[in-house]
Amino acid sequence: MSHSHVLKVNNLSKSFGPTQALQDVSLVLSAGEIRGLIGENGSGKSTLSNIIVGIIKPDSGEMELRGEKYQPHSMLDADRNKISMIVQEMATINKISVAANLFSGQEMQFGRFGLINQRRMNTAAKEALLRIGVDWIEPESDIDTISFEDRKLVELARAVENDPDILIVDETTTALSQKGREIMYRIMQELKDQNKSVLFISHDLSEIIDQCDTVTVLRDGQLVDTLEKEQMEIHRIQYLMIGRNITEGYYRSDYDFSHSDEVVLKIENVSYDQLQNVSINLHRGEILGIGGLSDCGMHDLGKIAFGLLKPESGSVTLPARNITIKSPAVAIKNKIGYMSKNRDQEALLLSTSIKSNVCLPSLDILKKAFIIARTSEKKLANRVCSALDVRMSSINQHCMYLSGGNKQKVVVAKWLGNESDILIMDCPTRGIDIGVKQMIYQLMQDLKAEGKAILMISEELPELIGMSDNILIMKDGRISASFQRSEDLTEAQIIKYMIS
Amino acid sequence: MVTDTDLTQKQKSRQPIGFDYKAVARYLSGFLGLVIIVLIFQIASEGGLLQPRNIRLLINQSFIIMCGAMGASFVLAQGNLDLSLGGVVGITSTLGVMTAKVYGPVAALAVALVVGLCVGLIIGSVHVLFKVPAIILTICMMFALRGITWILNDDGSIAMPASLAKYDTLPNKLIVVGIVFVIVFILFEYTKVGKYSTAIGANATAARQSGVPVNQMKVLAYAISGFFGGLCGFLSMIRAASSSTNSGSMFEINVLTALVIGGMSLNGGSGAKMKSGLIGALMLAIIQNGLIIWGLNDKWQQAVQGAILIIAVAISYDRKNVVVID
Amino acid sequence: MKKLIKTVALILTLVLAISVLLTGCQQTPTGPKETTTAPEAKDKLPAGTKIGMTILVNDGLFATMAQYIQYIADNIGFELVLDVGAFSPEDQVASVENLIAAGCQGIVFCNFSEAVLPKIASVCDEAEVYWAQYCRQVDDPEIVASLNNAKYYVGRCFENNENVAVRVVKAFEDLNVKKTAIIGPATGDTTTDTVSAKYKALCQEKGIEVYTEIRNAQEAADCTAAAETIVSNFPDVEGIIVLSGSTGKLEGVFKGLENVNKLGKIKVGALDASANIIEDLRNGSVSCANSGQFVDNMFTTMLVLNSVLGTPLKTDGKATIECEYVAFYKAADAEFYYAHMENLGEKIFAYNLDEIRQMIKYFNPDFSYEKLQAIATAYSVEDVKTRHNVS
Repeated sequence: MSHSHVLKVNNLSKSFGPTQALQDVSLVLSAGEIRGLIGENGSGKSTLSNIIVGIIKPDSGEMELRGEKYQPHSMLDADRNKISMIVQEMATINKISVAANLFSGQEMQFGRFGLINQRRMNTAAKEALLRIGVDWIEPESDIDTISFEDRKLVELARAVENDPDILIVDETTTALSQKGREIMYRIMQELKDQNKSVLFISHDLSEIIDQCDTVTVLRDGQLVDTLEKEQMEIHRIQYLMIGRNITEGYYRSDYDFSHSDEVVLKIENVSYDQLQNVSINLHRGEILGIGGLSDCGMHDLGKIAFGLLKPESGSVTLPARNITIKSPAVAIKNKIGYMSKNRDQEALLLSTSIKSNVCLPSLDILKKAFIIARTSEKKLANRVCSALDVRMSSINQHCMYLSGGNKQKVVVAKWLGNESDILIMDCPTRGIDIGVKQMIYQLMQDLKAEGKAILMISEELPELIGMSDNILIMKDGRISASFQRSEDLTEAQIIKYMIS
Repeated sequence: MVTDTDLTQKQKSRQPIGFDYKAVARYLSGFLGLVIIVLIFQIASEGGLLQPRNIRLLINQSFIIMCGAMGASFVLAQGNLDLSLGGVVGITSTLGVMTAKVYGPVAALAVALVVGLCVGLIIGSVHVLFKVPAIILTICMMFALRGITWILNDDGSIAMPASLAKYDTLPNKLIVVGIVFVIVFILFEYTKVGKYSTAIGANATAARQSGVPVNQMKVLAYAISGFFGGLCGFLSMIRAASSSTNSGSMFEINVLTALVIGGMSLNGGSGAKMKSGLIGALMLAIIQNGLIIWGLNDKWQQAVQGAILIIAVAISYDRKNVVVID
Repeated sequence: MKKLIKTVALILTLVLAISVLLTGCQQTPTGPKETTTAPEAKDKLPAGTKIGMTILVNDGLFATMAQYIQYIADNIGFELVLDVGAFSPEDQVASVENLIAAGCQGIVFCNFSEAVLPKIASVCDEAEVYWAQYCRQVDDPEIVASLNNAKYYVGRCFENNENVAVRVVKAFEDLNVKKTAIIGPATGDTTTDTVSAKYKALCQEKGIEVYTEIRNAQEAADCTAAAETIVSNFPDVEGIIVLSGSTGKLEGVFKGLENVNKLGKIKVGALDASANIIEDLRNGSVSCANSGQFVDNMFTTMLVLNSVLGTPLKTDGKATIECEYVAFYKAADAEFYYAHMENLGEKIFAYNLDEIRQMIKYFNPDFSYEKLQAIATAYSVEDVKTRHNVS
């Protein structure tokens, strides 16, 4: 056996019902390698990593670990074989402390006579967190009280504590801020220096190119190619991922920020929690971007605009019709749509069919007298779903079985079906792959062209710069700056208004 | 390059074409529990179960629970429970008898329906306004109503005027169940009320963000449940020709049992099917009646009943709508 | 899995269809079955007699009743169908309907409240099934009238509740108890209301004082509290009558008296007996208990059985059998009772199989309604001692 081959994956295949999630995939992971794994949603990245850690059993194919046959039965099994994974979703256990999460399953190393020495466990947890350079998380605190990002870091500390030979990072960085990402990157480099291996799954092409030694591209369950560092180039990877060239790039190519003067949505002197006297006018045919740090209050503002939150003072009105938005029901009646940042929790009924999800806000349009006919529901769902090319088995498929990008398409479909004139999009491209991302950007331009108004709340500056007619930057509950669409606008110009 | 026409063709190929056998099989599996129970007892009772006379009896014994279960479908679809139903039946049948004695049957029906509706409105409003968990609230309401029923039936029971007994006929029952079924079916499957209710059960936050007036729908669901509870009170008064301190006792449990063995998901959402009430009520009546016709030793009855229920639920439960965490 | 379910569903549906066709065409006879030509044993009833019985719960008194009738049924040759648990009026109607559906020709019924009786009467009249009540008197004259008009209503059997008061007062007089109180469940229940009224009337007559009457003592804990309340408010109380002592309520009273150190000092008279009645009588916790109601149900069964067999005991009007309680004054009374009158283990009962047969006209054509009435009135420890020649 060659010196450096840690993990060999041979001809893995896996299907879920009619979907071939993975088809004859083979790869070799060397010691001291950071391997990127990239592909669109549903390309099989997560299936592959889940097989490696024993969550899923392959239909065929086998794996070799350090030259021996490797057949993990569970994540625990993988742990014992020194393979750890940090997943995309939340993996911490609620209602217990950070330290208890860090050592869950191994509490007994602090135990004596069946009792756990909390103080020793907390000290050990503190040390583990410091080892990855996190000093702001207290091991005693309840895991529910710390932010999503910090919870991810706890998971990272836990994985590092296991001293893995292979660390799998599955789309974790999307949840992390720059600071968190840097910690993640540093750990990855440290592991590499110790001659350990990392399998790094991400959507972010630039991140992949920066961090990885090699990158493997998957498409529709098949391994397309593996590139060495010097071969990595954004367009090439994109081409491999989607199987075609993205000719026009992601964003709008025009720099025409003109829009109608008609104000369609008026947010006046709104205060709520930390929001203070925020006023915004959204015009017909305008894409208005709102940016800032995650906790600057912009997400609340989106909810207030849609009537989900009741402002402490101030109002949200539709000047044309002289209507005040008091509830989502009023908003929807007046053709406002809202896409939540937390898609799975707030925007979709996961255990319900695509059809029901799409039709839900449009029932008032679909009903005749008070009866909603099945055929009109089907017609609407089929129309918008095929317009957006939702990849599904049928409109009766439950949303939980869709990939992230397709779920987002269903959310968009809801509001297209409802013929909304105003769309409030909170992080519209969060956690979705470039194919869908591009589609959503194109759609935004189409909607603008039709004279619809879009309020786009985003934490991603390139997206704001690339798509908005006007950008408002928020800091600590106030609007700190505004920018007009321009070729010269850079992230650096904006960022200083976001942070103190 | 992927062209537009390619896409639409691909799209089309994904649509199910023609007859969807899978969906039909899944739909039929909801009736499987009923079929099995009928089979078991048809054989065990040597054909006695499906004698015309006995079928009439089964309808007699299940039609009130059917009405109650159908009425409660909306509450269940929202992922809530209504444990006040027995109390509603108790008080409405008592008030019904009292009204019938003085003002006749039409007034009795009106009183029962209005009282039931009011109870539902109260439960719904308190639940929404004061954020009291519905299960606790409905239990409290059940006790309160049961208490009032005790007070009203101060002699233990009240007899219905004999002239009303003529309404207790099979065609009347079938007509009532039929009307309730049609109303609830349309409301549940073809109007906002049903669709909003299942949406709330699936994910209340997402439902609200899709424009569902969650609080109003919750009040409405309890109002509907209470209204049909009142109807059940009236029907049970006609059937028993009386009211008593025990009128409607265990009714809520019977309704719940019927719904569950009929395949209703207690989590609400798209697992909620309104046919569950009908099937379940019939299954319940067949089990109770069948065990007696079978002539099984009373000590074995409960054990056998449990075993049969487990089989029935295992088969008719719609697993597809339940996310099981491994 | 789905495929399996589908297949199973298909097979079962087919089997169902076939079985319905077969059994449907066969038309199982619903009427009385043809009598077999085989010679019948002399001490057995003709085959095919089926009696149904509704019991409210399947423990305590009702369980004893059911076991006694099952024993009789097994030995004199009829089939007993039991239905347990029917409290609400609609469930009570369903219970009778189910028993009819099971092919019972007669039903022994215990109503929870009496307004449901006319409905039961009409269900049974329609099905032409005889029925009678046990343990229940009927108060409402309108309901009595409708029952009297019901063709298939045979009658009812109930206890002489007034005699409970009579015996307790006698016991109190013997013990020179002059200052008393009453503990009982909520008013509205016929049995306890009767005992209470009679007791108060007798006390007035005999110069015994009734300090207070605490009702709403629905369960054991309430009874404990009631006893404590009485003693703390009336420290000189000498006797307590307990209107309903079943399901631990009498023990509850004992507990309360024990808590205030008065157990055995304050005399207790009761309807129903405690679980350890022999011990409780011996140490003076209770001075007079009234029990033994399980035979009531047997008398009702005899009424129904005779009617089903075509030889009704009472041809003019409806039967009303009044049955005595068995009174326990001393431990020996209760010891005798559990050895010779209600001995479930050895199957020794107050009326043995021969005596039961004599209550059925099929075996004893001379038997009459008046004789049954006399047997019920005579029911007591002394009665059994003479009949069974034991002591």
